[in-house]
Amino acid sequence: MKKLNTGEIMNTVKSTVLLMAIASAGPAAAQLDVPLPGLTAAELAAFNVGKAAFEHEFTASEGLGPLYNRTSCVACHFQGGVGGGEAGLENNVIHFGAIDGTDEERYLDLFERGGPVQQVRSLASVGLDNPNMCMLMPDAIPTDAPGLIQSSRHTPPVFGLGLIDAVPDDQILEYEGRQRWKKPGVLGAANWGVELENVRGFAGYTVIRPRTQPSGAPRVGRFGWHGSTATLFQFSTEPFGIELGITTPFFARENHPQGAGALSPECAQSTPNDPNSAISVELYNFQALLAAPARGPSTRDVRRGERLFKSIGCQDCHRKSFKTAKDYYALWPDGTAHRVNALSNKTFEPWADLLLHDLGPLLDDKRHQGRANGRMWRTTPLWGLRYRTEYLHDGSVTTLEDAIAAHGGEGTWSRDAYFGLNQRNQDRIKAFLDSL
Amino acid sequence: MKKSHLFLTLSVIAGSTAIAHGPRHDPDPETPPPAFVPRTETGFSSIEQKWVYAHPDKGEFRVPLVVGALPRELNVATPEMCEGEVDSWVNYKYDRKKNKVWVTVHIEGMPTEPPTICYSDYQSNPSTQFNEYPDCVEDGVWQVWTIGNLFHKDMTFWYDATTLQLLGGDDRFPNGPPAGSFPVIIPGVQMVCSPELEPNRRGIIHSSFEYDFNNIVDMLGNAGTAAAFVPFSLCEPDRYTGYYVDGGLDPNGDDRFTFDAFLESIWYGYGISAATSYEPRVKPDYLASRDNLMIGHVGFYPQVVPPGYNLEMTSQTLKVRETCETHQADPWAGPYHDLCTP
Repeated sequence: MKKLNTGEIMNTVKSTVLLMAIASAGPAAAQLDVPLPGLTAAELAAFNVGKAAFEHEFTASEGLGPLYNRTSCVACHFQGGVGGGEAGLENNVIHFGAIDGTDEERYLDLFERGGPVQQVRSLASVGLDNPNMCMLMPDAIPTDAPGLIQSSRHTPPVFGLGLIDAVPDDQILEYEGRQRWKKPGVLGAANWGVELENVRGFAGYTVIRPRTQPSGAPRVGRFGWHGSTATLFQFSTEPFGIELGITTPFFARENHPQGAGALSPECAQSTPNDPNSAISVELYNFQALLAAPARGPSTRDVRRGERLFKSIGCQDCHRKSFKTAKDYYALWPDGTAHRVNALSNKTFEPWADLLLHDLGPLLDDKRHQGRANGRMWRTTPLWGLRYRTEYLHDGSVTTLEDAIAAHGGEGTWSRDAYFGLNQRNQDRIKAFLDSL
Repeated sequence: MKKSHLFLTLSVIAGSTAIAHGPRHDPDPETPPPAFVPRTETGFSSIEQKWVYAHPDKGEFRVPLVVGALPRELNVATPEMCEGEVDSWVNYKYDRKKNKVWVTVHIEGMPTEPPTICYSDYQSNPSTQFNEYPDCVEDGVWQVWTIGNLFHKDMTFWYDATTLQLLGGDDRFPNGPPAGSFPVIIPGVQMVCSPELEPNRRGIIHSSFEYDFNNIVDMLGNAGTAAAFVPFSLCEPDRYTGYYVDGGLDPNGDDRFTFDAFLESIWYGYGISAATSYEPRVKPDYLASRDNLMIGHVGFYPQVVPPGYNLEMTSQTLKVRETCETHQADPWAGPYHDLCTP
């Protein structure tokens, strides 16, 4: 077991203070970082080991940096417990890239300028653990880049993501496109990634190209604001590198300041920092085995609100339920695939179809990810909505009304239908949303 | 679940040894291989421990068709066709042991009377010095194209070393490359057509036909054609124009087309495609085994384009389709480079 250091203690204090604040504000009193029901003893042990890794403050000697955003996962994921989203916008990260000046408006990731994600800290700014005196400056947004775009991203909660990982592609795909039962203008398309676990053996493979999708077996993307990541293992492992600078066999390239080609000797570390993906698997295990937020009480208004939610077409995208694969196999620390009964053949309610939808020009962040252009966003799961304090990809709105109003494009019909309801029925829908 | 006790050894091998590309054929297809054995770029899911998209020996998949076309092609479209794409598809069922691929096509919303369509009403005739196209098609028929090796078939093109102009593909120089030329390899596709198809009085095309699994050929006995988007001058290396192999590919040579090519394309993540084209009822010789560029539908698998969207080829992103009428699909933009003008 890892010993808590000063940073971890501070995190715990911070989480506790925040939880107390949230608790005093209303329904967010519950502690959400609980394991899925029905785990075996071995699975529970993996959950606890992973949770400790999620809370662990990494140091330079463990591979932190040289550029990074925070020193632990929980530093951003804490609202409602370990693995939650963030209360506030302090830890929003900036994605940046460029739209070239051609008629095609091609998207450029600006790898050569440090893109696509900014790291705001470097080992030089820590002052506590920088044994080689690495003096790199943090990543700066290259404001001189022609066609520069920036997109701020809010920290999402990771509760229940194992269930989403376990959804077979065909269940997601069956909701794609124009369908006769959908409200006018509602479509929906899958984004695509690859099954990272399936890319040439799991411990020994190094993806040569930095931070691009490795080639391999296709799988429907379901994680991330633009739905471009296909597996929970990737959704966990990739930010381990981007946000903490911990490189892994799958994402082996260190974050380079402004895209500089080679790191100076005092900043270079042996890479990958997690050479056999052991910590990556621990982090993934915690998130895979983390329970989804439970529903709140079902009052008469909540039930009426749910019916209204469906009747005005919100449920065309905010799909109520999925059933996980008959057999879900998790990466396991001993290198095998471990069947998790608690994630196999289970029906759950994320309230999202996990598809991309064009939400119109007001939500166009210009960022392309996979098949998604800047207007296309993966439907956000609404479970646990009552614990959140900010909404949308950038956390820029703080009320449900404003979040609903932001829906354009494919969401226009339902948005207008909502605002066409009388106050009583709008309140019922909000009561329903507050029950999630 | 089998445990792979050899996991560490195998993963070390995977990290240090090139893994042979090509289909894996398990001795017993019902028995999944052990976890984390290197399976580079196959469609076998470690998460579900099964073949998700294309079993190596026997299976079935469906390619939804949406109204659309590739850059510079004429997209033949009507509102009825866009309405009908909700239920338009090509279904592939295959069995290696029986050496068969059964194809079923179902397309709704098609014009009930064969339209007269002329390129000049929308664009110029797309003929080039390498490929010819008819000006108009009257009383035409439809064909479905099954497209594999999706921009992954290496095609060799020869350029004049002095002028940098395209002299042609390998297909035009059966006796060896032309003098004073150099080769450029450009990824293309291989595609084979269906028999001719016509809608019924309700505007529905519903038809079934079959190919041999180990030797897919068209009605002329050719292994279809190969095509690529190619710069006709390397002075402008990013101005792309379609190039097709005329006369069909030899099914007994290197271009033999088997269904394994489709399965591999699916496993590797490149995917496969299907498309419809509007063709002269009697195809002229220059269109033998290849398509007229009047395109009705396109479809991809497994990365399908759902009804209501188009895939913008240049950015590879999806866009909600706003209108549905016959038009020329946007050409590739550019060129952005001129290497020959000082």
